[in-house]
Amino acid sequence: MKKMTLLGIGLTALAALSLVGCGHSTQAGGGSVIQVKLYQAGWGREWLDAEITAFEKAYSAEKYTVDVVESTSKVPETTEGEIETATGKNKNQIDLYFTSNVSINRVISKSKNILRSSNEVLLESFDDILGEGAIGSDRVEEKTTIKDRLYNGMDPMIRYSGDISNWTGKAFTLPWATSATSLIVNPKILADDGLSVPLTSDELITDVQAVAAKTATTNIYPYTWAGNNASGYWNFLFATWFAQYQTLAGFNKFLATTPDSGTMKDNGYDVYHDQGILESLKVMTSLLNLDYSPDGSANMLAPEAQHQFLAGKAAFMVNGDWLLNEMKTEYATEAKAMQIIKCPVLSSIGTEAGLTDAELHTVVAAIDDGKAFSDLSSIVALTQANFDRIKVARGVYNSLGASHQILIPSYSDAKDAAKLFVRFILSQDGCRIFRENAYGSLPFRYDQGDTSGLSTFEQSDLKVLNNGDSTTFFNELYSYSPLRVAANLLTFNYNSWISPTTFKAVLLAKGAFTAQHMFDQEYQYEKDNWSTYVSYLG
Amino acid sequence: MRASGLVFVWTMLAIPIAQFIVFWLVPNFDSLLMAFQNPSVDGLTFMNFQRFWHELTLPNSTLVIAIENTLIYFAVHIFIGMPIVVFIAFVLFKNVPGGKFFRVLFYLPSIVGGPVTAGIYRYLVSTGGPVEAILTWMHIPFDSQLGLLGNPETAFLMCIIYSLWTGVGINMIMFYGALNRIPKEIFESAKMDGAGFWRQFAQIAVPLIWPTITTMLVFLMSSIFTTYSCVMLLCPQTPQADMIGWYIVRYTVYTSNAAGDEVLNYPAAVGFVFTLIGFPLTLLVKKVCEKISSTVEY
Repeated sequence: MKKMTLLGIGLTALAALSLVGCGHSTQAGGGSVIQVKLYQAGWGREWLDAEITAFEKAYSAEKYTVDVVESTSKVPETTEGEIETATGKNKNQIDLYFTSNVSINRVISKSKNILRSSNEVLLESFDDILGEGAIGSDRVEEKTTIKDRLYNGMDPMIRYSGDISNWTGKAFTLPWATSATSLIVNPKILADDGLSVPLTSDELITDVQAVAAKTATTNIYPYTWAGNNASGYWNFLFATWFAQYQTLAGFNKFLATTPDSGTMKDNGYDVYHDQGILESLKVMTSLLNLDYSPDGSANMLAPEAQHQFLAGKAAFMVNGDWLLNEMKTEYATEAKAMQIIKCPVLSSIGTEAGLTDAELHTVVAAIDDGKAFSDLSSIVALTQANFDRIKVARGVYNSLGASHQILIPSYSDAKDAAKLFVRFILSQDGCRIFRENAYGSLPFRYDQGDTSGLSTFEQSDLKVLNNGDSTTFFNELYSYSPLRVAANLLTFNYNSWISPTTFKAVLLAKGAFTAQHMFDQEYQYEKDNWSTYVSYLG
Repeated sequence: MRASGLVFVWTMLAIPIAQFIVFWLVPNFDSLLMAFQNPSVDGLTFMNFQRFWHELTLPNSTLVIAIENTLIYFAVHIFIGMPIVVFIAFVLFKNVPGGKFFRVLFYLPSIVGGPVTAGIYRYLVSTGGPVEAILTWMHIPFDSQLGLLGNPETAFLMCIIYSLWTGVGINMIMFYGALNRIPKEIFESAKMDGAGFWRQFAQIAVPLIWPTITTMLVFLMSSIFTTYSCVMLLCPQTPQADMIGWYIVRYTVYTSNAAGDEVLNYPAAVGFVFTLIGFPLTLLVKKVCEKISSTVEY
């Protein structure tokens, strides 16, 4: 009896320990207390604290309080489960999430079973405030609606696209971060070598080779990269060049596996025979070589590679504008001196337009200066159509899209206050506060004022983002094609190189892979296996 | 036992039983169900298993690489790792000078967190680290451009060495405890009969702690298709270092996050296949071990 009792007590204590992590100890918010969880990623938490301070000051009479319950990198892992805990004793008390990669379609699809009603849904819709202006510190509604200020290309990403017709097209999320993921340049290294910021892909290759030629004496390499956990960053360049060549519409067809003629099921593999892929691969295979990066890059962690770059070991790095915020503790001065640049325009676009690379450089520079076709009459070969094509290509950049999400549970006791706080964050004041504290951008246009006081890095970041008027695209493969979902179809699937390690394999091959070979092999592989992929659709 | 006592005991056991049902039974049953489902199809389907077969038969299949690596990993741990640990435990049991210090030293990786030991290990074997210096001094070629972890040909070997190093501590403690339960008189009388160190180890210690060895082998086998931490910590983006556990994790973590819908069905099917293989394999190992040496009593 005593042994059994002790056994029972011991097992119970052990079991109780395992339940410690469940739930949270906060009280219900309600009314003027807004409970928030923040996914603390590269932009940190300071921006949110600054927003809260300003918001609470503006609404001191109403005594609104924003309580950050959790701000960790783990928030996205638990967001969905928490939102779905909509009833009962352990009902979720969080009013507002700044999270990431939550499947909106999935959460909405579960609403009926959880809430026991076809007319209710787990997430609060933002359609009302999208049609209204944001409200800043002066508590006056801005004239331009939030929807009109949203960056180009983002609107479809925030809307429900599932099968439940009640909710189709409704906006259940707003994006809270965007980033230009592109090339970051060390201007000093380029200047020391008599090089300039590349505007075309051929210039980039020339710059890389010029830096590489001196590496033995200078110990400075063309670029750093993180082979351990971020070799997929090279896909940012590949995807951007692909989208430049084919335009965003063409790129999205690739994502959606819809060929120009035929059907997805019959010959969807033809999207892998896109000239844009080949043109992009030609640049990638010329650019990528292990000899162009510091020793040990093949297994470097992302922070290590960033350290190397900011310590002046390399001229370029593919990264995002979170670099400054992530490295500000040790490398604030160095990071602020770096320059994030628009992805160089694919030189083959110039070739097809009948231009030399120098002429393409001139056209691109003119576009950057806001000039029109009529200002380029000296370039005889240039036509209006080609100018337009180059201009569109120049405006394309790869971003995080709407993967970073603002969510409000529909059953929140403080949802009105939460929406007011969101309207504050998205206001002119809120956007400035985000910029000042996170060194990044909310994907909503705002009056940037006099930016001359900002660092080189921040000014260059704003130029790339172009206050939302550039063409953002998001390389989110699975949102577009049911076949990609069913077959887990990545950008590259041939087994010698598997996304995201494709370009790691190219780097390690040191020039042994040719673009044409990769292109042909990948296309043949997709063609051979397409019927199998289609069978996964049922 | 009185009825009131039984009620008390079963009430106390209700919580751990509920915990077992909620945290083990339900998730595993759900996972089993997912293996036979797919968002593209209503009802149950074998589609995920067909896909598994397809992945297995592809040229240069990453799944085949993962299976091969997993088998190599466990063969090394069973036939090299475990004997070394048993030997180390026996050496420490024999009260060698500095034994306490070595016991702490060997156990340290087990108590320091995985990311910390991985970080230390990465430093040791990376370009510019102590291992490069030693190998260079010994005139053994070292590819400083790739390092040992960045080189696809050596990455997996380095993962195995790491796991052997970090696995010594906890296993050693188990064997050391088992050795300490053996009556000292047995070793004393063996010594008097002229049994030297090696005979005591091979013919007395190992047979007497065989049940513990069996238990540890069973633990090892039961985790054969779920082990992945060394790959995740050291070279997560090196396909040539893949293992089945990491293959499954990659398909749940890296692909499901990008999807608008569930894509857990395929990794659930892979997990199910290897459960069907791993479970009888573990029982077989247990049976073989028990046949080698029957229950020990002393």
